[in-house]
Amino acid sequence: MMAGVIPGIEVRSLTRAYGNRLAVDALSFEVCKGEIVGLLGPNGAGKTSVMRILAGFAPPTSGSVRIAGFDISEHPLEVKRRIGYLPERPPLYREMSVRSFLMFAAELKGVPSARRRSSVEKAIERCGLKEAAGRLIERLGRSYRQRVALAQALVHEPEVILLDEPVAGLDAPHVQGVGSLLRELAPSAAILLTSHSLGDVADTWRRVILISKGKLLIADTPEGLRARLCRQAKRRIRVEFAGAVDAVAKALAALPGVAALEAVRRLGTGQAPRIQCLAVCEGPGDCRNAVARCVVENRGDLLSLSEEPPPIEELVDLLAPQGVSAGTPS
Amino acid sequence: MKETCAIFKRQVGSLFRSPFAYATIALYLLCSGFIFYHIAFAEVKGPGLASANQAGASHVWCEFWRASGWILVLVLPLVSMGSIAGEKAAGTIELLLTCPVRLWQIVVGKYLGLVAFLAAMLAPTGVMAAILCRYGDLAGTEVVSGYLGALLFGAAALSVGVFTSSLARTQAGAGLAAFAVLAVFCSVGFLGPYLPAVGGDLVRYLSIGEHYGHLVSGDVGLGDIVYLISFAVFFLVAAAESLRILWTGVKWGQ
Repeated sequence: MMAGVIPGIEVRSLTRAYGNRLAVDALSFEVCKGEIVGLLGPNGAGKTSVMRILAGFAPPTSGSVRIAGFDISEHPLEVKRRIGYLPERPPLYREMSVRSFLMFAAELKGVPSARRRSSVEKAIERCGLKEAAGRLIERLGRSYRQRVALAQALVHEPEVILLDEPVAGLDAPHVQGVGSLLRELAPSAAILLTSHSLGDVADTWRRVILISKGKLLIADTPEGLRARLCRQAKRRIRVEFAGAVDAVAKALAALPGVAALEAVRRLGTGQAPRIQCLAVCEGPGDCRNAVARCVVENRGDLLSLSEEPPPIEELVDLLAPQGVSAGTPS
Repeated sequence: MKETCAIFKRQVGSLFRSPFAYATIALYLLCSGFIFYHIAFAEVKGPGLASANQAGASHVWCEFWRASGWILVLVLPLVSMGSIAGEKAAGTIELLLTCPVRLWQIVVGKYLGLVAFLAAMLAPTGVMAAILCRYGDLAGTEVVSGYLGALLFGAAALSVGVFTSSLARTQAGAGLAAFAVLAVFCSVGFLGPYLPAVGGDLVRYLSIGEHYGHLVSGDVGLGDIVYLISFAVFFLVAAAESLRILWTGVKWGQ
């Protein structure tokens, strides 16, 4: 953190207990204005509990949270004026139209009546809702609903943006759209978003905070995390090929360094078969080149090849024994 | 105030967009219409409308509201049960409680929306008042006291519904609990004659049915009005407090 700059989010020794179970265990981190930080963890890691506490929806058992300099326990209204919060489950009034719902959200969030309409139109534009603005929310698909929920979080142009699984349920083009939107918002806001995957919008993150069982495992840059993964985790190469598909599949399974061939799907017609699969590679080095060469050498036509991030559970298993290894959480 | 107004408008809009609300109004009007017909035209004992004098019209008007009170006890829990429990079920409670709005503003905004719905539900009974005024010479003051009683009693009943809705996990649970609480507060006065003097007076005073009965019979007393308003305020404060305890843990008044 830069000296003299008030962090957008400042969390110190945050703990939340449900009975005897600790959902959040002495968690500390900061997010400054201009940063997009990913809060990452497997299901049940405590991400939603953290977000709910930061949004003022659930009280902490102990520890402190300051949003834009205001303590959440002492000044909850000041905090709520400054946050835009997208819960895990989109909070939508289905019987309302998109525009009237956003007008309602803007009014509740204290947007002055003189600029309420323009704020709503801006949120509609930003979230790609122009076509759906006059439609009832109950008639929208899942992707649109998620974007309406995102729009309500942004309608008052908050200083701190908290997004719980913002791309859940969105299709690929819209995931990219959210990524672009986050980059656009980042200069004027501190953004914390949760995910249970390293894919999604990970390329927008400036830092990653990985938690498991409510505890901080690691706080690092995405590049730093990827570097660790390259050294430690199994690499997953998604490959799609046509041509002599059976011969290629057999050769890939026998390729040195490939531990397993997973999620094999036969696509296409009998005349022009295609196979899509996941080659799980072990050992040092980049195996993408070997996989590509194997496809071509066995008379296959390489259609696509990309590396997928490891499942978050595997990441946690790898990093958990090492404890907090990034030194400072901020 | 703006926030309360926004929540009020949304609550009213939500109620009137729902077919359930219209079904509830229809049910109420059907039952109250039947009661009115029975008292005014089919009752053989007592001075019905057939006597066509003021005493007869007053009797019909008073008995109509007394009987309608029980319909309100049945119907208003259905109207109010979703006020907060419905927000929990839809997940929109998370939106309301993370906006810069005080808990009492949420509760009052929703409650006023329900009271507006109650007023709309009672409005068509104006036809009955018009019939009694035209053919039975019902006094204007009796019309006013009847509606004052029904509105205050209904508003008190709705406050119980908002409170149980703030506690319950499901709308059905909230409706049943509201009905149970209202049934107790309406019928506790019946115990009065069987209790010693002080105890009898106390249960009669606590009974909202007693105060409602005074108002609809034209015996408008400040004590009855104050009691019914205090009753509603008590349950609304309890609703805001239960939200505070169950959900946010924020300090009193924030």
